[in-house]
Amino acid sequence: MKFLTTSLSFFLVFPTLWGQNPALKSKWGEIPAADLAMTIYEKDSSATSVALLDIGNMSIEYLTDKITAYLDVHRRIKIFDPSAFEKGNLTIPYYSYHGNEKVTYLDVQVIQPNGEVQKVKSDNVFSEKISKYYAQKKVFIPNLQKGSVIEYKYGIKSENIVYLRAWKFQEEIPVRYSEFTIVYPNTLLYHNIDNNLFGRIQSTATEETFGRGIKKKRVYFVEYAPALKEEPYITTLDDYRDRVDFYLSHYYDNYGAPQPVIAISWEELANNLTEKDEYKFGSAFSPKSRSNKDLWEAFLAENNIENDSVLGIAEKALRFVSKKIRWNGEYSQIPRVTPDEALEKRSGTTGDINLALLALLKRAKIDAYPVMTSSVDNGRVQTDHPVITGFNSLFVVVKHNDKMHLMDATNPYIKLGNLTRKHYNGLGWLVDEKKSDWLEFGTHELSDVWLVELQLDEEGNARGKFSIMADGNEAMNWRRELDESAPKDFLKSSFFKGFTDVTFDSIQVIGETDYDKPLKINFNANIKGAAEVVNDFMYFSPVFHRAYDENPFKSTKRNLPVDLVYPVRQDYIINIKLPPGYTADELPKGERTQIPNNGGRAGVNCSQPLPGQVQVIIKNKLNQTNFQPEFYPGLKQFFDAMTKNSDIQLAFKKA
Amino acid sequence: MKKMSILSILTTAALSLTTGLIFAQNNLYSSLTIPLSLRENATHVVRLRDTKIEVDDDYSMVVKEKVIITLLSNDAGSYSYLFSYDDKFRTTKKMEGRLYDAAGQLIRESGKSDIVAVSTDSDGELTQRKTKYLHLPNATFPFTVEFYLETKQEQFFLLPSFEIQHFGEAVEEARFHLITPANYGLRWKANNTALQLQSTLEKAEKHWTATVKNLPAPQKESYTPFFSRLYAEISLAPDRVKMEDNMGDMRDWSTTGAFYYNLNNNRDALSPAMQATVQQLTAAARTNREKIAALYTYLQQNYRYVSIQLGIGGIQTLPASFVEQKKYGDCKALTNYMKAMLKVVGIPAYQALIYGDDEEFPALSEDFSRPLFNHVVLYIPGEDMWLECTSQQAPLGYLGGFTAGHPSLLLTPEGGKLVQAPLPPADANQRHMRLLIDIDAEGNGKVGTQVHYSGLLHDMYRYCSVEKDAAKRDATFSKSLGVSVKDYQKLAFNADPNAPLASIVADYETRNYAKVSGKRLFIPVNKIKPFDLALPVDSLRQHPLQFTEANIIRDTVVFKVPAGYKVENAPAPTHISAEFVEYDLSIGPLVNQEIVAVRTVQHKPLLAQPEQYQDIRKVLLNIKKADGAQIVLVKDSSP
Repeated sequence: MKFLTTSLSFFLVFPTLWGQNPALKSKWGEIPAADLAMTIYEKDSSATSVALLDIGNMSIEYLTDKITAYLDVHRRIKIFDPSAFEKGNLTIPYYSYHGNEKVTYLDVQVIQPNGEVQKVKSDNVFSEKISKYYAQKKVFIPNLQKGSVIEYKYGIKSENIVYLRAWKFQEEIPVRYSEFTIVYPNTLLYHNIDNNLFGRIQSTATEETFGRGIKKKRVYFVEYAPALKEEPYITTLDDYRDRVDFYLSHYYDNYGAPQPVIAISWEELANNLTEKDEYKFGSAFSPKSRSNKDLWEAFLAENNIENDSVLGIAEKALRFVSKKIRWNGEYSQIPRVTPDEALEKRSGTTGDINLALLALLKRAKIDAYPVMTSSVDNGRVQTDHPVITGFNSLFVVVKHNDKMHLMDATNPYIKLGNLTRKHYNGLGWLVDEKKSDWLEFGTHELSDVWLVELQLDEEGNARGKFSIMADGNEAMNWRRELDESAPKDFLKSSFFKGFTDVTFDSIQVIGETDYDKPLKINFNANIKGAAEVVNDFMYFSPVFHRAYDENPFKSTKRNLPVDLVYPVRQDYIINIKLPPGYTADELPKGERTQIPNNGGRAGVNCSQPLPGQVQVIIKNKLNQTNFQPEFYPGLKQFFDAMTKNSDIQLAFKKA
Repeated sequence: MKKMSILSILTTAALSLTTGLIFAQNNLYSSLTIPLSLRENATHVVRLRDTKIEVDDDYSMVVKEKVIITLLSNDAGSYSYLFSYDDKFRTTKKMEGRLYDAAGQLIRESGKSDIVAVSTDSDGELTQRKTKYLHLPNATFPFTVEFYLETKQEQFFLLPSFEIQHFGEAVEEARFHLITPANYGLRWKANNTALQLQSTLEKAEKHWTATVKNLPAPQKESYTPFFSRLYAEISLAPDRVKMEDNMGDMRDWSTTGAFYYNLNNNRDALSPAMQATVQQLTAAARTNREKIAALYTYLQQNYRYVSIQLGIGGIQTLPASFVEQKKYGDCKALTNYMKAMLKVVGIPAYQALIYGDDEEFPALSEDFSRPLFNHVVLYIPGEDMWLECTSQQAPLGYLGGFTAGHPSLLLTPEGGKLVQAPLPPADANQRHMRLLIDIDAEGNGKVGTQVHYSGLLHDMYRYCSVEKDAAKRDATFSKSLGVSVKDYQKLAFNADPNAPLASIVADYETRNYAKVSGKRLFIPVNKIKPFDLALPVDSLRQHPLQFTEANIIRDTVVFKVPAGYKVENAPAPTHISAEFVEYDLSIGPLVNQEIVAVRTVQHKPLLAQPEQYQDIRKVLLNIKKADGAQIVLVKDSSP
């Protein structure tokens, strides 16, 4: 505590930064009258609360032989409405494992609209252990009113000095002013990773002397950050959040020579990772390692690979690992456990599972590599800084005959060459001690094709011969369902839910375990009341399977870009034989809608190849998967067109 | 010794594989030994559940449970977890597990590091509870887990039930054994089973036992009247309990209520200043109802829900002085506080224990007092009024779908009274919608909407009316529609502060209301709010079917169609009537380019036997079909 006063005094004199509005910032307890009187936040009148102030001062201190990071935070929140009283439930989480982080002080007060200051006493403050690793302070602020200002400050002392706590300038409520200052001795070399998509973050860098040393100082601030709100079809909100991260790469020793703390280049990071040292990542897949011996033996006990091709062995390894080790829903870019331990536990993270796969491939002398990546939910891969925290997951690539084959054993029904959805983010870092490199890859499209030969009778009942086929991860999804339920139940629940009376016969599933091929199902279906018969007319809606039952984009407005992850292709072709005596009475016009630059097309076409027969062809293809908010109305229109095409109606007339 | 037995199991399992023989002697770890009759409809099979509960003289208990479960499919995934928790009164003594493959070979044994302890409190919550779990997953099914759990509970007011069977669960054998002091008073009630609890006296102990064997799995079905997915159980209730220094007589609802009443009595003192505030707030009120309204509004606008439950805080309220000072509290504390304010103005009120949940609630019977509650509301006998004290929006005297119609225990000075919280009758839950849909030659629609909701149907729209974020309101409303909205010209929600009524005005454009097909225009009648109650095929229904919805829907749609069309075919008037539903749809003629369609739907509660299932399903399918009707217009070629 004593130390804190000295550290705080360091920040007392604050130069005003260029462009900074000094009115937005004020000291502890000094709430401008206008803020007390405020009843609405002008920049966002829908806000029920606003963070007036969010200030963080990080100081890295060298004390004897220990480096410590001190963070002082000062926040102020204005409450406009009783529904925002919950902002008075504060939580301050920290990494408590082995005492790694500690909350050194916490002061909370409420300033009522009339200016009265009420200190929040310690009987409102609680400590909670969240898990083995995390704890938090909880504060339930008493006596809140409409118009109250909550003000609090706290300090966190941390031994994590390599990857510092990120500073987030934005939250789910608007933040009027957020500022982050970091000061560290110039004997430490820190780098910043900025996420500043909208150019709101401003910063300055200066140096100051203290005693015989020099301290580096950087100040960042954002004024009037809007509230950041969740929307469907995004990667992660953090991709769009104004924030800065700092990491330490070197310190300078007594002779002024730089000593690396972590890897300083991608090459070095790769070398570090692939070392066959027992505690490194490389040992997981080293063919000589003891950590994957049981796995290899278990694999050989179930698989004869003597006469198999490279891809044949890879296929067996993929199936073996994915069926033996279940994904536990967690991500890691480095192993949490060894491959043998993962096998023993029968579960693992993405990193555990795919490194087990890699271990088998390496043992089988296949040219294979780990590829580190950031999962779709984790957001964009950052490529500027060689830090391992830029990744959170891992898959495998096999090089064979100058071709790259992607592999991901976190789903037992996957095709060799495909990744699961979570890994389709377009970019990974192939780790190779000789030559690591960025690997760009596209997403394999979800596709299905329907061919239907249908005979209608006079009552409007239909008998159809269906031949349906799925490829890409759509086939993976179908295979999982077929493994867990009977084919007729799969067909009924997936495609014919809306029909009251359907029976199937001659169901034939082709290629259920030929994972490298599309999955085909042939079947006949008798569908009662498929068409509506009224007087001399028969009305028929010929589409049994739609790419989209309804437009998935419900909101009329959009703030963040849309990320659909998968390109989609769907072809639906139906030939309809009319009952004797009926003719098609003027077919609908063909329709065609496109997204510019080959982004997608959706079309429907009707024709009469022979008298008494009607053919309908629907082709939907979506190539582009990322859309800026400006294009949202266009995207929504495209999906409207796709659903409209599937809603097509035919009319037949008795001659 | 343990190692030896595992080894012998391994050897036998291996033997069985090589010889291909099925055991005569049951190997409970192997999925191969499950009798065929127990596989049908089962997602998992309880091979053995052995529960032993020892209740001590000091009202504490030790529960020891061993289970061996074979998981047959992914649907049973949750059974690969063993859950427990610790709090001030409960300690988990032992938590262990083993995982076996399909053939019954041991894959792994859990270690200390496999036990995860986490706090699951939300940001506005503080309990002393730590959730503990142990997870033994396997990548492929079937597989078997064996768990052992031992807990010690210092004091309790609920005894664990003998949960005989859940849906989708087959039971090879389950044994239940409760040991109590000889003079321990215990009541039990069998739900959906003929099984009896046997009791014997041995020296100073009483033994209560029951065993079941070879129960096939009850099929998982929708709309069944079973609470908490539990198919059969023997419910237990002790006659006397002790919580800290409070003894409770739980033999009937009256004494049970008295126990809670005494625990929560005399905790309603307000400061003189607060009493003055209460007087001031109600000074202008002429009737008791007006006084209640003034104080309820004051509570809603100035206090928030925060759940702090320490010690016996789970069943005893924090004193009113606490809430007065903090301006927050949990359901007990806010209810008690409202009661305290009413007391100042001479209006008596009772705390009412209740089970809050939007989906289901336990049936409590008059003759078996077992206080299965999780929430408290306030009952004012003078006005016959119920108050939900944790909501900042609820209108005066209105209980929403969370508690309406649920059994409730009133805590009166004379003891507990089991009653039913009011459930609005069908005609109090209504939707009246007027739509004007202007359709152009491409099938686009301009929609003008006016909707009035009442009772249980209005809850969601009250929420919208207080939501300040327009994007959220837009998204919530858009999601409730069967069409995709291109743009809103107007979207406004309004909720009556004094009654369960909400109204919406919405004007918007949609791109694909009607479909153009050559010279025809197909106009679906009920696309915006289609009838969506449907039942799955369920080839052979096993259990009763229950619908609880009771409401009335009246929609009028005026279609304005482009010039030059005539009606080729329009659906005939439909009337479908059954015990649980009345459905009417009528479509008028095309006059001045307008067609008027009127639909009324009345849902009534239903409890039906399994044999009625297919008929009920057919009725719903017929309604769905009628509801999906289209008006077919064709270009008028006559001069």
